[in-house]
Amino acid sequence: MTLLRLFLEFFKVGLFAFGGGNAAIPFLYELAKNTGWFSALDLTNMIAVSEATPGPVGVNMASYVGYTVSGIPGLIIATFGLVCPSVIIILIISYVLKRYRDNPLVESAFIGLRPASMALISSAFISIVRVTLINEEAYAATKSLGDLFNPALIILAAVIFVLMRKLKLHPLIFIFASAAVGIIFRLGE
Amino acid sequence: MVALVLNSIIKLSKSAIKGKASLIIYLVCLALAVFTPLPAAVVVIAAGAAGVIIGRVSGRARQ
Repeated sequence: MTLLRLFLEFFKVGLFAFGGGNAAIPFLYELAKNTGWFSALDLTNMIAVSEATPGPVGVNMASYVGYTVSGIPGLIIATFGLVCPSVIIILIISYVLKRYRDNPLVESAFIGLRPASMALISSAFISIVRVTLINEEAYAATKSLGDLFNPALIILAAVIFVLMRKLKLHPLIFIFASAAVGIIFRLGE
Repeated sequence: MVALVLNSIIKLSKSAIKGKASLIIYLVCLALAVFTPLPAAVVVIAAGAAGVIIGRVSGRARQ
């Protein structure tokens, strides 16, 4: 039953995550909330691991979640569920596109789909910020603004962002650098 | 992760958000995704439908 649910949930993610691997992130947040298979913090860690490993982020995350929930069979079923819709849809689209390549209706639909995908990624970004940089629980307990933000992590994120924009290096370098800074300065404590 | 995703958003938005119509769709979808419990799939389908309507309206305006 769990395997069937894994397949169906990741099939849904694969069906609606337009715009590449990152587009799967908001759907995975929803999945975390609805199923309890993993927490928002687990997902943030998974994204970091997925970014640091070869292959599309969405597929890596499906494999990770599948394995966490149901071992090797879960890994296979979740990954298959995620890629299944795109394989089916691309097969159909490649056939249809030959005939309707310049159809204004198809072009128009993408006018809406592209910004929607961006909005969902932005929404996931807000969730990631809330999980990693803001401590709402501590603020609720003390009502002190100093407890709401984690200045060290905010500075680290800002520095990494600026370096990423300036140096144009591979993201992997920044992930390892951030991990090293986290370990050296014990940012998790 | 925050920096990585923010960088991706900036890079992708250059090609995904062109013109007022797509900016409005972006803002509406963002508001729906952040402030309402609507499933992401509904937002995607609604945005596709909005794109079709905008395409038709702007097509008619050109004619």
